[in-house]
This record gives sequence, C-alpha cells and structure tokens, in this order.
Amino acid sequence: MKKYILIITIIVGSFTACNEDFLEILPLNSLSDGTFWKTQEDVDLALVGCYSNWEQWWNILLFDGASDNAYDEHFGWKAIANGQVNSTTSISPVTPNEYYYGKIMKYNTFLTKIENIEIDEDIKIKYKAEVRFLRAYDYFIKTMYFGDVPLVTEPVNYDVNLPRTPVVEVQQFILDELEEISAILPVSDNITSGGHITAGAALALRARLELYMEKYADAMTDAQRVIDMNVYELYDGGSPEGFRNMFLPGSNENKEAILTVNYVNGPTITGIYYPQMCNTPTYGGFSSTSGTRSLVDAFETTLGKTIDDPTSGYDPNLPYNNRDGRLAMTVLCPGQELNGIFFNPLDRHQPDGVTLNIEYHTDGNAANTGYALLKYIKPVPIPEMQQNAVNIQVIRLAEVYLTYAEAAVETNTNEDIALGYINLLRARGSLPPATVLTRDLVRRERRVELAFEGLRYFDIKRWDIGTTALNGPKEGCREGSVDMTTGVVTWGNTYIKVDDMVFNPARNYLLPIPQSELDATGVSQNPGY
Amino acid sequence: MKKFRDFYERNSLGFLLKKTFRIMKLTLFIFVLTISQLWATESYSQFTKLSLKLEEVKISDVLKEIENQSDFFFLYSPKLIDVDRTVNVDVENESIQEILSNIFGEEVKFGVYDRQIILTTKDNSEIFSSFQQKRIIGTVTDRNGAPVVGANVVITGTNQGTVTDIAGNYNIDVPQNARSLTFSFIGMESQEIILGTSTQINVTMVESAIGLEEVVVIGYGTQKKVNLTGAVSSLSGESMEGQFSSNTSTLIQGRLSGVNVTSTSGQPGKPNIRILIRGLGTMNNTNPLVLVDGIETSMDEINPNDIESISVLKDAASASIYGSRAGNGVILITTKRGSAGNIKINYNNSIGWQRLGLTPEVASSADYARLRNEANLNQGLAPAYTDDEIRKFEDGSDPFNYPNTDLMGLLFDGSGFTQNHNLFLSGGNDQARYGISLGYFEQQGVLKRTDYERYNLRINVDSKATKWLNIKLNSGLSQGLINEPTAHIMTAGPFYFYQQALLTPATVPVRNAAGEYVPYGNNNLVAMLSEGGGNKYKMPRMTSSMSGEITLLKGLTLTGLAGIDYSTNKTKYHTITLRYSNNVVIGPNAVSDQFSERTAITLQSFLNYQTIIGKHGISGMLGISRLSEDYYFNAAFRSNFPSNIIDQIDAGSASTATASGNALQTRSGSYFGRLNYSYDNKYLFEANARRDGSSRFGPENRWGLFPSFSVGWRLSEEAFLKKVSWIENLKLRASWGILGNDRIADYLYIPRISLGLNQPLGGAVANGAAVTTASNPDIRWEKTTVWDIGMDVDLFNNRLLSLSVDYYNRYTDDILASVPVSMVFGLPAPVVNTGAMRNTGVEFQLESRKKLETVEVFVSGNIAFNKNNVEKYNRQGVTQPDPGGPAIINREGDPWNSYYGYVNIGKFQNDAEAASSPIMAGTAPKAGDLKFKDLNNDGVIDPDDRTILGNTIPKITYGFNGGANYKSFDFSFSFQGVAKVNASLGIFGLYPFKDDGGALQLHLDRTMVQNGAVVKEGHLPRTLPGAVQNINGSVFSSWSLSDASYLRLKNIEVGYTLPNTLGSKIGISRARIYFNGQNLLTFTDFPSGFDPEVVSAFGTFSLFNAPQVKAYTFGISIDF
Repeated sequence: MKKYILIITIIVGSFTACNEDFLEILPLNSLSDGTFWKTQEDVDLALVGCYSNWEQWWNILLFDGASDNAYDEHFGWKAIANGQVNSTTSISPVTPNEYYYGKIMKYNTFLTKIENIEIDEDIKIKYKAEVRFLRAYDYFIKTMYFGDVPLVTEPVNYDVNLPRTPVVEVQQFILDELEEISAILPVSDNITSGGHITAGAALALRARLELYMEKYADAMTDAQRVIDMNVYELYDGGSPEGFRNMFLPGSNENKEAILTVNYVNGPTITGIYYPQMCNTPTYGGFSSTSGTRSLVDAFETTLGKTIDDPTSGYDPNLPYNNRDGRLAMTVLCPGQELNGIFFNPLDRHQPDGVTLNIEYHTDGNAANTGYALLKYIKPVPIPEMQQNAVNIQVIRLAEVYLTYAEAAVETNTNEDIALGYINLLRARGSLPPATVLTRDLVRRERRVELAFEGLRYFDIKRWDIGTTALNGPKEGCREGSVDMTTGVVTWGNTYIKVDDMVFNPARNYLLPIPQSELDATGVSQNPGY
Repeated sequence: MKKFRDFYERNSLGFLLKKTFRIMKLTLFIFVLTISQLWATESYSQFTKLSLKLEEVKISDVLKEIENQSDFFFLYSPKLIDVDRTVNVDVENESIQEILSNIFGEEVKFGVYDRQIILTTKDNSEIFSSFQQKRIIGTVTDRNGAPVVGANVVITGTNQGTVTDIAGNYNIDVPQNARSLTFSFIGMESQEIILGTSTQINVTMVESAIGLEEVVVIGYGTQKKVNLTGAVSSLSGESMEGQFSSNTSTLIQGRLSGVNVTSTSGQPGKPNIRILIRGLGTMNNTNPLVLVDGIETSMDEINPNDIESISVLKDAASASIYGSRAGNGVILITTKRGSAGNIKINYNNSIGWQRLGLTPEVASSADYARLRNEANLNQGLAPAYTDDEIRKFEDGSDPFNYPNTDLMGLLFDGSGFTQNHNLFLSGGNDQARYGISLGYFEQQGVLKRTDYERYNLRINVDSKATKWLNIKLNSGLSQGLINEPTAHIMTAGPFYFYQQALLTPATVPVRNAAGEYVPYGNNNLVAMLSEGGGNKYKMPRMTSSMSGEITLLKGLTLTGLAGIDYSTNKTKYHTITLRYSNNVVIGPNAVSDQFSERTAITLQSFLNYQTIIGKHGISGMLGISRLSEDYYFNAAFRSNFPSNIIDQIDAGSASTATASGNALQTRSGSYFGRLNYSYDNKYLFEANARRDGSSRFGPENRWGLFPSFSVGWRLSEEAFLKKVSWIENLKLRASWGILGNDRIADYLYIPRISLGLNQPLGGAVANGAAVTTASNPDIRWEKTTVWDIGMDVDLFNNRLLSLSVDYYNRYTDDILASVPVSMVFGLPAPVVNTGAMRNTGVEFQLESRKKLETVEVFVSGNIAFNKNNVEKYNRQGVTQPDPGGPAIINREGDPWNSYYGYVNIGKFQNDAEAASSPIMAGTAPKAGDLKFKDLNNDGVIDPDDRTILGNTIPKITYGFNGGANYKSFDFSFSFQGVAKVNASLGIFGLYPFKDDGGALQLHLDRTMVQNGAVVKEGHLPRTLPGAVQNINGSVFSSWSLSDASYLRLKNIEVGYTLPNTLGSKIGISRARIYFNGQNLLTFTDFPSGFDPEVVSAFGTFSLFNAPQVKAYTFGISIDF
C-alpha cells in the first residue's frame, strides 16, 4: 500500500510539473508596456521620465575644456581643443553619448503614446509642448556637435539605419517646433514654473539657434520677446556680488535663470560633484578644469580697457589688480586669497623649503594652468562637494542680452538698446559703461560673462576664429613664486604651457561621428576624420 | 530435481551444476553481474542417515524417495545411467554412500558434494575431480587498507564466484582443478591470483588508470565507460587529493581535454573563474551547466575533498539530456558516499604559505623622475624634477619628501597562510550507509587584510528502506566568508589596491615627517589598508536533495527527487573617514548593507528500465522535471557614523539613509527520455530527447525540442580483433544532436517601463518612468548542433597505453545576443536571435601507466585544438572600452572577439620620416612615435586600415600530468598551458604616466629621441607625459598586443606513506604525508612580470586583478 501511495505521489507530482502557468512569469519591479499608458498618473510619471537627465551639468560646466577658456585634464575635452579628437576618442562622460538617441527615443515614445490616452486635452497639449522642447533642445545640441544628424520624430525599430538629414532641415525643424510651443507654454519665470519648460525658454533657445545660424534679425526679435515677457531680471538686482552668488547653492530663487538643470539631494537624486572635481587639492578637490591665460587676459581693467591698451592701467607685476570684478569671481588666481589662504600653484615646496606643496601646478590634483575655478565652486566640506544641490543655468537673461547685442552689432540696428543691456552686465564687473557698441566689445563681454558655461566652443565655431583661438600653445599663468603670508607674487618670465593645440580647418569645427556608429551602420563621417 | 536433471541432460559440463543461480543487480553501478554462491555444509552427507524399504521399484523411484526424505538431490543423465532397472532396497539408518553402493555396485560411480549427488559411469569418473572443492577465504582491501565491499571474486574462466561482504571478506569453494581467482571491482585494476596450497588469499586492489570497467556519471545515471557513445571527460576526486585550492574549478585546470579553465584573480575567495568547454560557443553566457548530485548549483562552494568524480559532458549526445541548458557543456559532480561496515575515519589537512606570483615591478622614484623629465622634454615642457631632486630620490637623504616608496612591498606583505582540514566519516550496514564530511579552509591573502574562510558540512545517506525502496539524502552545507580592504570609494575592493600600487609613482610619500598620512589624489593606500573599513561577504549555501527509488518490476524503477539550492550573500561595504596631512579629511564614513538570496527548487521524476535479452541490451529512461529560481536583492545605505569602528547601519545618520531592491524569477519545465540499445556489447546505440519550456521566452516560442543520436562500435569485441592480444579495447563513436540555450536575462520578451527616472521638478523630486530597455517578443531558443566523432583505444595489458581522440563540429545558430545597433535606435541593443558561429576542433587524451617491480609510473596528457568562426552576423561591431586599450571586433568570417586594430611597423626614426609618412588625421607624430601600416595604401591612416590582430580565446589548450610511486614514496606533477592566444596590457600597462600615474620597470625600455631623431630604440615608443594625448597612447595596434601563450607548472607533489607497522598499533590503517607546490613555474613570452593567465581572460581587460599566487603546502592524510 505504502508503495502505491508513493508511486501515485511521484506521478501526480510529475504531471503538475510543467504546465503553462508555471512558465508564465511577469517582471516584479517594472511596469509592463501593455498596462502602462492609460491614466493621468501614467502620463505624469512618463513626463517626469522625459525630464529625467534631459541635460547634465557636465555638458554645460566642462565643455569650455574644448575651447581656449579652459584646460581640461582628466576627461578628454582637450582632445577637441588640441585637434587630436578622432572617431574613437572618448570624452568621458559625454561623447559619443551626445550622438546617442536615447533621449529622442524617450521623447518620441512619449509623444506617440500620449495621443491615445484619454486625459484633459489642455494638459495633453502642454505636456506635449514640454517634451517637444526637450526634443528640440537635444537636436540643437546634436546639430552643434555633429552637423547633419538623422531627424527622427517617431520611435524607431532596433534595425534602424538612417542617413544623416542635412543640418538646415534639422535646424528648421527645431525653429518651427520652438515657435509653435512657445505659444502653448506658460510665460513664467523659472521659479514659478518649478523647472517645467516655459515659453521664455523656448524663445531663448530659438534666439540662440538663430544667432548661431546668423539669422540676426530673427535672433534679435526672439531675444526681445523674451526680455519683453518681463518675468526675468538680473540676479540680486544686477549687483556685483550677485555674479558670484548666482552660481552657488542658495541661489535657487534666481529670476535671471530661464532654463536650468535642477539638482537636489534626496534619496533617489543627488546633487552634483562638480565642486570636488574643480576645487583645489587644499580643499580636497581635483582641479580637473583650470582657466587659461587667454581667458584671464580677456577681462578688462577697471578703466574699461583691455590689458594690451597702454592706458588701461594694467600692471604686469600686479596682473590681477584693478580688473573686471567678474575675473576674481570666475577664476582663482595665484596669490588670491580664499578662506584665508593665499592660492599658490607656483612653488614646488611649502615655505619651509622642504615640504612639497600639493597645489604646485604639475601635481596630479592641482590646477595645471595656475588658474583654478570659482564659478559654481567654493570650498565646502567634502560630502557637500560631492553632492552639491545647485541649479545649473543653461540659459540665463545675460545670454539673451548678449544675443540681442550681437544681433544689433551685426545688423547695425538698435545699438543703443544693445549698449544698455551690455552695460547692465558690465556694472556687475564694476566696469564703466561702454559707449560704443563694437563687435570686439560684444564678443569680449560674451566670453567673460559666460565663461565656463559651455558656450565658448560654439562661439569660436560660428565666429570661425579657430585658427587663432585653437592653435599654438595653451598657456596658464606665468611661473613665479607666491609669498604665502602676503599673497604677493614674484613673477618670472615664462608662462606655464599645458598643451599644444593644432587647429584643422578642414574639420569645420564638427566632431566625428563615433566609430562604433560607422562600424554598425556605415553612415557617412564628417570631413577631416 | 527435475529441472536440474533436464538441465544436465542438455549440458554435460559439470561446472554448470549449482544449486543456486542468482542474478544480482548492483543498481548503483548499473551493470549486471552474475555470481553463484555455494551454500556448503560439508557434514550433511556424513550425519544424514536414511531408512528405506522399497520392493520391485525402478532405481529412479528410489532416487526420488531419497530426495523426498532428505535434502539430497541427484544429477545424472538417463542416457548414461540405467535408472529403469528394478531393485529392492531395505536399509535402516545408513549413509547415502552405503545405500548408493548397494544399488549401483561398480557400474556407476557417484560423487557426493554436500547435498548434491552426481551419478556417472565409471568411464566418466574423471569428472569428479572437477568437483573436488576446497574453500578459499580472504579479505579484499583497497590501497588504503579499507575493505572493498562488493568486489567480485570469480574462478577464472567461469561464471562461478561470489562477492565480498561489508568487511571485505569472502569465502569461495573452488574445484581442485581451478587454476586461479580473478578479483575485480569498479574502478579498480582487476587481479588474477594463481591458487597455491594456501587457503587464504588476501588481495589489495589498486585503482585502475583507465579501467574498462570504469563507470562514468552521465545525465540522470551512470554508464560503463566502454559503452559510452558520447564525448565525456571524467576525473576522479582522488586524483585531486592534496592539491591546494580554494576552488574546485582550478583543480581541473589542464586535466580534461577540451576544458579550458581560467582564473583571473589570485584573491582569496574570489578566483574569478571562466570555464570554456570546446571554445566559446555563443555570444552570450558561456558558462557550462554545473550539477552536483543532480542539482544545479555552482562549483564555487564545493569542498574539493568531497568530490568522488567529475564528468564533463562535451558533445550533444551526452549533454542533450539536459537540453535547454547544455549548450555550453555540462559538468557533473558526484560527492563521496558512505560504505557499509564499521566506522571509517579519514582526516587530512594541509598547511601552507603563499607568495605573490608574477607581478610587474614599479620603477624606482629616481627612474620615474628621470623618465618624467624626458617625457616633458619630448613634449617641449619644462622638466618636472631638478637634478638635485633626482639625487635626493636616489640617495634617500630626504625620505619624507623624496622617498622611494615600495608600495607593493608595503601592501603585499600579508602572511599568505593557508590551512585546510577535512574529516570524513563513513559506515553503516546493509540497510543504511552514511558518509559525513566536515571541512574547514582558510586562506590569508598576500595582500594584507584579504582572507577567505570556508566551512563545509556534507551528509550523504543511502538507505534501503524496504525491498522495493531506496532512499538517498544528499545534503551539502557551506559558508564562505571573505574579508577585503576597501578604498574611500564604496565597493572598491582589493582590485583598487593592486591597481593603485602599480599606478602610484614611487615618488609619492606614505607619511610626512610629522607622521601624518600624505594623500595622493584622495587616497593613501597604506592608510586605507591599515586604518580599517573594508568589505565583508558572508555566503552560506545549502544544496540538498532527497530521492526515492522504487522498484516497480524487475529492471524497472521509478525515481522521485526533490532538491533545493539555497544561497544568500550578505555583503557589508564599509568606508571610513580618514584624516590626512594638510587637514585633508576624506569621508564621511559610510556603510552599505546588501543582501541577496537565491532559491532554486528542482523537482524531478523519472522511470528507468533495463534488461538484457540474450545479446540485446536495452535500457531506457523517461523523465520530467521542473526548476524554479527566485532571486531577491535589497540594500541599505547610511553615512556619517559617529566613529569609524561602528559599522551597524542604524548608527549612521538617518538623513543619509537610502535603500534599493530588486527581484527576479525564472521557471523552466522539461520532459526528457533516453533509449540505449546494445547488441552483443559490440554495437551501441543511444537516443536522447528533451523538450524544454522556459519562462524567458514568450508563449509562442517557449518550447524547444533537443534530440540527439549516437552510435558506437566496439571493434575489439569483433572476432577478428579479439585474437589481437595487445588491443584491449577499441571503440569508434559518432554522435549528432542539438542543444539549447536560454541563458539571457529574464523578461526580455516583455516590453517594460522602468521606474525611478526621477527628476526635481517644482522644488521636489518627482517620480518618473520611461522605456529604457528594448524588448523583443520574438526571441526564441538558441540552438547548438554538434557532431562528434571519436575513438577510444586501450592497448597492451595493464593499461600501458590508452588514447581517446575526438573531432567535433559545433554549430550554434539563432544566437541570443545584443547586436550592435545604430545609436539612432536610442535604446540599448535588444537581445535578438542573431548570427551563428562554429567551433571545430580535435581533442586528444593519452594515458599510460606501467607497473614495474617496485616502481609504478604514470603519465597522461591532453591537448585540444579549437577554431572559432563567426558564420552569420549581419552587422559588425567593434568594442573598445578604453581609447588606446584593446579593441575587439565581431564579424562574419573571423573568430568571435578578435583583436582588431592597426598594424604597427616600428617607430618613426626621425621627424622627417614622420612628416612624410601616412598618418592619422589630427595627429602630428614625431621621431620615436609608433608607425602604422597604411593597409589600403590611400595615403592616410584611418579606421579602414584596421585589421584582425589576434585571438582572445586560446586556439590550443593542453595539459600533462605524470608521476611515479616507488615503495612508500609517491611523486606527481601537472602542467597546464594555452597557446595561440593574445592579450594586451591595456593602456595602464603599456604606457607610463597615464592619468598622472607612475611608471613600471618595463616602461624604462623606451625609445629615446634627440634633435628629432631616434638615438636609442626601445620597446616602448618615445615617452610623453600622460596628460598629453598622443597617437601612441590613443591607438590600439599590434604593438599593444602580446602573445599570451604560457605553460605553467600548476602542481607538484611529493608524498610518503608511513609503514603500516608503525600506525597499526595506534589504530591508524594508513598515513601519508606530503608536500605540494602550486604555480611554481611559468614559461611565457608575455611582457615581464605580468601574469598571462590573469590578463588573457576575455571581458576583463584589466591588468590589475590580483595575480596568481605561488603556494607551498604540507599536509597529512590519515585513515583510522
């Protein structure tokens, strides 16, 4: 009897072994596409999903490493600046990711799926407009880096193999989209909108692209439309201190900001580690990016004159005295005091003559040019350096003023209005107002105002000044010695050289299409690579 | 009486006369053994007295009456004996002899053998001499003196015999004319002992080298090796005894043909094993399936001492019974079981030390400074060090500021102590047997504060519960504990120390004059190692099963099995706050507690049938099984602990707390069957089929069918070869079959929305979701079709030479892999059924063993040649994780994962040559830089000039072992090697100064340049500062690749078995002491100091894995 019970147990057990239900397993920690896309809650989740990582701080803050403003030691941006970039160069963490269509896929999926969801029509249109902006922004970045890129506006299959769409078509698509959505999105400052895209952001980006396309009249019109919204104002009433504080945590009530990437510290989101990357080793940082001689020399003297002007009051032995106030808020110069310590990247040893000086510019974590960064940077405890909750400004009112001014000087129209805008910015550097609007003035203002905000490389590109800006040695400050008790610098004659740049005009300032994409699709490469 | 009489009528040969014939089936070994037993009580005929009173009856009736009255029975042929004659019998209490003499007189001779009485004519009376029997008794033991239970003792040339009992004792009655006895046992050398005058014969059996009787474990059963038709490599646990290793995988390295084992790390407890069976067969997971006593599990936590045997199923015929998961081959491990008898105890231990294996040397601080200056000079920069500073580095006059730091020496001075203790107990009786093993293993790392401990307990019980039910319990429990130091970066374990110890320039001081640690970057390796923090892993595992085997009919059994493989991994990552000089504080201290759990439950039942009908051997198996796997993970994090020594999560700051988790489920169900047929033990046929369902595929593609067929022909059994005495065994084999593979991630056929894509919006973090993975509803089984043709030969007696040869052709189609997709797709490439690859190869395994008077010598070797070719792949993809580091290509017509890059043709000798040669756009090479070949002669070096540069997978793997036993001494060695494989040191190993790194000794062999011309050519191109990108460091070329072939003395052992007389007094039946050395010698052309095994593993291009260690161990093994 026992035997039969056992046998029956085994046999019955066997036949329940492999039925289909047993093999039907659903994911435990993600939603299924088939059941998602139904309700308002789903759309809300998906909208935030689109905003997630729509832009990253390093694209903005480190990109000057590709230009003559900065020297980037660790992340490969210098390969763009010195001309050595090729199709297999990895600029960690950015390229070749910028060619990657991950965000576009996300946006296109959202825009396709939302159509069939039954929600309030106004909400649907607004949500779509926000995502359309994000898509336009991503295409804007792609065209700037790569020129022609495939224009896709719907989700594609994995076997997609598209040729590159001519850049003008992509740019027209961006302009049309921005125009359309600027009528849908609310007119609001960035604080009120809570980081949601506004009409101001759409028009400001449109103005930027039009400027880059040399459609100056259009750029001026759109810049004026942004200014006329009257929801944006210079930070802290345009005060000189505002220029420093605007880039530090606590500045989030910033009405100068038009488009920002927001960072907070929370359980699932953390702030940025830029402060640790760019603080000097004394404060536990790595000085990944440092400023160049070329940038520092661009700041005017307090007399409102460039340093090569004999009447500017510039003293080569006290090179940082009597300069545009924004200089000391943008870079940390040798001998400059910070937290009671005089910055000394010039001496191999501490004053005892024996102990090594970790700030010495050849050291691994020291500012290699002798100019450390201050924009968005201040010494803070290490945990805070690694998780810095600050909003990174992608577009701010100052840029819109400068766009207007550049459009004015290129078209010789509304120059007085433009001068007014320029002088609002100069006031923050405690500079005297400019009286004549010149191309040099506008370009210089743009460079010093927006240094380390990721626009310089594109400016070099559209002004076609690569042969001067991106050619020859990349230099920092002069060699010398800092008196650690007074901050007085004894200057030598030679400049610190950090790199040799070779500009190749055949490349037209475009970056190479990543080799992996060429290998996988056979798509055409940009010239010169 | 009748049946025997009739039998006798047909067979006049006397030796067939036996009272009982019993067929005993030894189910464990699944082969049929015929034995006969003689129940002899010699005195029966003497004390039995009979009384008969019969008148005018036939002799046949008299005999019948005697049989009725007594236990006697008669054997005779009526043709010879006239039993129809009528006689009168009247006897009272007479012996049988007297009665028979009265009846037959002189005409008929008779012989009384116990209860049997044989009648014959006087002309045939010589037949009795063969019935004159004498009793032989004795004991059969193995080499260790342990009794051999169930050994066959057979009168040579007959079917008569017996088996040994649980004490190894036997007794057998043999005819006077018998010449010898043959003793045999599975896996032991058969012995023929000539009978002399002695009635006691004790035999010591030794394991056979190849053993025609050898039984090999195969899927859901065992098979006699001679009857195998598939390609199976096997190894006994004993052959690995004494070797030092924390992991079983490394013990089989080089011992099995076609099985390539690589261990890319020498860190205790983390050997980072890769096993490839017959090359790389797929583009996804290439790990073979591992089963221990029938339960899918991992090889990692098995105690090597518990292993009875390891079988590797290499072809489709042998593996397809595991259909779905067998595409990469199957490794079957059986563990030691108990044997009946009084308790037997074995204790063995080993104690030893490890030393750092092959490791590159770091350049001295003075050399570093000089090289750095030269690099700056080459780049047009000012020198970094003055002559005075270099002098200080050299003479050590200012050790705090100008040190010559030997980080390798400071970090790698752990004791390297190892110990290993194992206790094995076994015993039982006919009803139940047990085998219990206890193991403890400890390995201290060569890097300080790395260590590994493992506890093992295994209980195997076999019980014959009733006549029809056998119950088996296998229970393995283990716990592994790993400790390792960590850097400030959470989860950065020892690899960080290996890496940074090589990358940190020797000019970096450890402490300043005030005794404070000096940070280099954020770190100070010595501080991080000495001051605490670290990673701890605790990995308990239970692999247990219970099965019942019910005998339904003769030869038909039903088995039900339930098993569980349950493992957890509790990990604690603990980083500390460290204070450095200059008031630099790196922190905060933080703890991450992580817990994962995997439960795999197997349910199986199968029917087994076997029978022999004349010359036809038939066996079959039908089964069903299901497997469910559940994986769960969670993690909690906090930082800002009040002290570095507190590492419990609730002590951290609550505001920093975060948590995460995940869970996965996998299910599979299978039906399977096997049919074996053999004719006359000559012609062998086997068919297997398995139908598998997997939860990883959608309902339409869920099921796959995996059949296989194989045939074998034992030529040596054919008449024409049977005469050839020196051919003991010759078998040809051929097989064909299909294997499956579903080893991809779960849920890939279901479109999924990922959660957690959060973003601050409106001042708070909002929850987001998006599609971040590509699904593919059409994915289906990957299928591997395997042809295998093989031959097994055993030549000369005493296994002087045996050879196994296999040719295989393994074609994998519908490979499940992520193909390179256009970046425009915007999602990671989905897993699709794409492409096909073929592995073809030849394997040889050769063994020889010769026993001379006092010396026994044995050698074995194996070599396998494998060629991989991608047959279908509609896109080509080049992967290069680090610029300048190794790049690999996957495309049709080449081996999978081939190195791909530019061809280096020396260095530019001067600037003019560099300026006039084809160069890469955007570069301006100078004298001393690498020169590349313009393969397509278009005047520029561009990606079109790249070509295949080498292999990531060895084309040849081989190993050879040997040894000798002389009296009480034994000696053995084992070499393992690979050839036709390449590896790159990677950017950090190839060049100095990368990422502000240091320089290695080998970087000093560089090309030196003066005034635009090379003045001294070295291995490296001209040196440039790491901060400057240069063509040399950003291009992967043939210069960056080295031949990674090597031959390594994996193991060498010398042992001595103590004389028996010594130990027997204190109850020791055998004691052996030995010395074992591991990884003592390596022959390679790989760049100096780098371990070619550590870097040659595909996938990890990292150079900085923990190097293999050299280990020296001493041990003792005692049987009580």
